[in-house]
Amino acid sequence: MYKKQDELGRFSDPSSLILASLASGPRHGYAMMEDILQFCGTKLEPGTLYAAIARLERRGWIDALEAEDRRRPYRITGAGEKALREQIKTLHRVVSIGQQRLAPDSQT
Amino acid sequence: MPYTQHRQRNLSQPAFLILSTLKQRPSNGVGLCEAIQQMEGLVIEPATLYRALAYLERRGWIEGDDAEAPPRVYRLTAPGRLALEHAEVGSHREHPRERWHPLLQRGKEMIVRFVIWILCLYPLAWRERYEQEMIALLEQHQLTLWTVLDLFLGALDARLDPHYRGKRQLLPLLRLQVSWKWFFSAVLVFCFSQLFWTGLGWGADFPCNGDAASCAVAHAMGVYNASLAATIEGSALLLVSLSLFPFLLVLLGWIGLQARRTRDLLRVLPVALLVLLCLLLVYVSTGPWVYSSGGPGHEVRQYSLFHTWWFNVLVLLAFIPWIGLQAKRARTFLRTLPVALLALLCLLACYVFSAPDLAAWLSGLFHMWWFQVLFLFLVLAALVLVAESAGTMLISLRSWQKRRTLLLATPARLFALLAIAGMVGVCIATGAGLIDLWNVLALLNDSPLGMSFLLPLGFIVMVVAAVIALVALVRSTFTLRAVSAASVNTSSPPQWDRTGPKDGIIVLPAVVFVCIEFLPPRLIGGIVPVWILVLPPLFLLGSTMVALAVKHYRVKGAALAKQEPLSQVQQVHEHN
Repeated sequence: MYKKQDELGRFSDPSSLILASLASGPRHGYAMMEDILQFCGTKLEPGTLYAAIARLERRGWIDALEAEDRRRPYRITGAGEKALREQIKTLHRVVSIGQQRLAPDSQT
Repeated sequence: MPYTQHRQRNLSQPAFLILSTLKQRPSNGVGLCEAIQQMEGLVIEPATLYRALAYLERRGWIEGDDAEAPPRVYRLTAPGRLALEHAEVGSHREHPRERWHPLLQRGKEMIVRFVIWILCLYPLAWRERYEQEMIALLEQHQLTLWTVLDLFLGALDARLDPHYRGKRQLLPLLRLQVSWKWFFSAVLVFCFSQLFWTGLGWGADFPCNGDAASCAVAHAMGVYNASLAATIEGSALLLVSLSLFPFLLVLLGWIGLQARRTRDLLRVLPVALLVLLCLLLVYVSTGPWVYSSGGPGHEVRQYSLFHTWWFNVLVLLAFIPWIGLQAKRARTFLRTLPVALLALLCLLACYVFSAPDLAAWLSGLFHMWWFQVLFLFLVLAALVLVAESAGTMLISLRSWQKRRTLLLATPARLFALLAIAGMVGVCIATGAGLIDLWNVLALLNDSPLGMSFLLPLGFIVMVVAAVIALVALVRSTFTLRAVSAASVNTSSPPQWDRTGPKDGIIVLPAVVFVCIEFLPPRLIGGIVPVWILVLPPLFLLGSTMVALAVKHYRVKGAALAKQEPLSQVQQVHEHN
């Protein structure tokens, strides 16, 4: 799990955002950017977005669909869903442990 | 409609779309999806839709009809109508771009075009796959400075990605290009190593203080330099005479073909002139323009035509229509830049060469670093231009390429192999000279620090050059064999590939050269001998020939790629 995260390089964060965005259905690049902006407030730039898309696609976590006009929608694959779930689990762990450890501090 | 416009009014894009759809008529979830898809061409996912519906209902802007059967019908409420109007007004106020002044609009388009141009920095394989959708995205995106920076970072990231690097080498023709780069780097490294050696003998006038050891060293240096110069000049002349004849034939054929199309005459002239100039440059630089060895005070013999001001003015005039044509044709400024630079340098050359007391001034001039830098830039600019004109040539050659496919390729191959072989020979000859010097080095008890430092360094660099040259030789041989084996099967007329010569090919050597030129003279032991400046134009020609071959195979490869899968070409390559 942690190893996988390392392999994603500097785009690890955009990758999970893209996976999360695609979890609700196929989207093309611009729709992804808008969706990500809506659900988490991160404004991804095209360069970052496509660097992450290229990595995810190569890894087999997302899949390109037939291009409509010039835009090409992407969908999440089974492996991608699994990766996203694992990532969410980790994030949950981080959140719960963070909360546990912060709680005594805020009381004192 | 960009999402951000509505965000400021507390309305997300789906919410805005839902409200505006419901304004026309009440509808259920499925109906909303269909209506939005029809109106805006956007597919809203059920999850997004129902999240937005829940939000709007909570705000009291829409209400669902609970009385009816399962598909709930939603309708707009009065506060919802107000909110929608508010958002619409806001979006109009924040959308003044549609009503921009035409000039501003034009400026904006130029910015978009510039941003799209940055995509050229991405690797070819990446661009083939993602460029179109990226352009579509960029046209929609709100461009900021950060977007540009991010694109640069993305390009760097893709360039560093081993995936694309590996992919590039799958194509044999690109392998050929790579070996051309290798070859060119080898030349540069070789020239670089020459600086160390010649700096020892010529520049720093090695002291012969009367004691036997240092006089022996001085003598050995003299012999070494003389033999080295002879070797290089000899091999250079051999290469030039061997390679120029077929090249001239091709050139003449091309000019004849172009002359038939009168409207292209304007385009032919500067290119033909430039190629002739390059050829002339080679003769000039290997002939009377070379300094006779003998230290800083040695005399300069001039080449009359090249040094007359009217000749340079003619060259300059010939470039003006070329620049105009290039600026019109080329999409990017970068391609016209070398042409403009070249013309400017020609202009400068006019002034330089028409100066009074030319000989004395020239001899002083050649020892100035800035002149050498300018000269090298001239050579590099010419390289870019020749590579570019190679493209133009190939377009014209397309019509009869089918019948004589080998006409262009054979001399290019021949020259590439000869040039590399010649360079390896020079390396070996130099290495033999080095062994002599190595023995002399032992005689030196109090050798100057520079000497003991420069000798091994020069030796190492030269070995590196020889290794690179050998690698280039092996690579190009294998690749050429693979390509020629594969090209037997192709019968369709080749398609012209619009991608021009890679800028990286030019930029890397330029950087290396400038780095060399800016090295402090004390470090390299004295002035840079002029025959080092002779080498670049010589090898420039060789590299141009190879570039022509690369272009040629690229054209062929484009047709090849359409016909048969890549793996087949690879198999042929592996087989070889």
